[in-house]
Amino acid sequence: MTESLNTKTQNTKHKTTNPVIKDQANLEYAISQYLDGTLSEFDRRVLEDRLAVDAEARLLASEYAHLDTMLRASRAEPTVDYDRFASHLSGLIEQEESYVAQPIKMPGAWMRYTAVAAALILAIGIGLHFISAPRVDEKVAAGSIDVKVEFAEKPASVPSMTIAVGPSDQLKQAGYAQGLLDDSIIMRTPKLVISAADQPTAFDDRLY
Amino acid sequence: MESVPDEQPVVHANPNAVADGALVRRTLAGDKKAFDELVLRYQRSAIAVSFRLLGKTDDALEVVQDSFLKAYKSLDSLQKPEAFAGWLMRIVSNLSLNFRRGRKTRQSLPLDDFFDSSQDRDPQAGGDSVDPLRVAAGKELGERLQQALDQLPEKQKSAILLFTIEQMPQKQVAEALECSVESVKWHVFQGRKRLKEMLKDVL
Repeated sequence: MTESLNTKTQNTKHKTTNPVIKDQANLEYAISQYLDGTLSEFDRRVLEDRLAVDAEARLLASEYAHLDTMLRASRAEPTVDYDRFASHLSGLIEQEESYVAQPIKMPGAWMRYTAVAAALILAIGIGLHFISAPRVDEKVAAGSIDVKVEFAEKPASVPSMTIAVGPSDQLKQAGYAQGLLDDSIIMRTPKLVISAADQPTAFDDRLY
Repeated sequence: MESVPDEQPVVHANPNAVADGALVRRTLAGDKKAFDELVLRYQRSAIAVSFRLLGKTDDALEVVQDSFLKAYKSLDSLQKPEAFAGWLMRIVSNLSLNFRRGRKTRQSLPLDDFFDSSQDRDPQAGGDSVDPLRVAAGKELGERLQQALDQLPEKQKSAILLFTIEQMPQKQVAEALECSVESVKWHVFQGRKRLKEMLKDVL
């Protein structure tokens, strides 16, 4: 209904088929909008054509117009000292907290530059990775890479040093005999031995 | 043609729309005087609407005071500062209806206020000259009109009150009722239709 009333198409064919003319409910709705001044130009002309020839439609429009006049005339406004009321309200508002403009926190220039630089580095890194990485299906020609490993000559004498963690045999015996160490310690063997010599040397108690 | 209206009311866009938005923004920036300007601008309409819904001047003033305070406190929640007027009227309507429900005072307006108080109207408020219908309308008619309005569903009544009686732009009414402009047209129409049926013998 509304769609047809609001149609912008203007041709004579619509004049005979427009719901304003055909339908009573649409006629009343059109009259309502006509009184409000919100009817489209086309529908307004269609309605006026209808009102010009239809006494019943005119009576309907007259009743709605009369009702609107009554309603507007009934507008009631109490006697109020508006200036005083406004001052009173102003006083109340004054007691309320003020809105304080909150500055919008924008990232500093250095943060923006850093972010851009990080993004660039990341992009370049990813790009280089893909450019330099050999493709899986790419065959390397035999002999294209020569790797030569040369061992340095073994030194004649190597300084000897052993680091051992754990009780020495001597300490075990002494501790056990004197009851200074409990079984768990006495039975513990050295856990870690780091030796730089070909031949392991005897443990030195000073290391414990 | 019998009584087809010669003049159709023109629905204006709110000429204060930009200024309202600017005042809202200034208020939000800490300028309370800007909000005073909004009070001066809309207190009259707000009181008229509330008075119509409540029937008592004191009640209307109390509700309008609360409405402006509420509007101030929640101003930062207003999405479109230009829509302040409709938003304020929504607050006024809602608080008025809540107030009325709370006090169970669903009473008719005193007729002295109903028809005669308009003599106190601001000359800028529209100032239609004395209408023959208005002169002819008596107590009984006023009572019946108010009773008929009270029987309308809330949306229809508010639409009639804000649009037809207060002559607010449809867009503002739509904002006040939280619906589309098309819905406002429909509510106004449905309200009119029901009022016409109820007041058939006096039309």
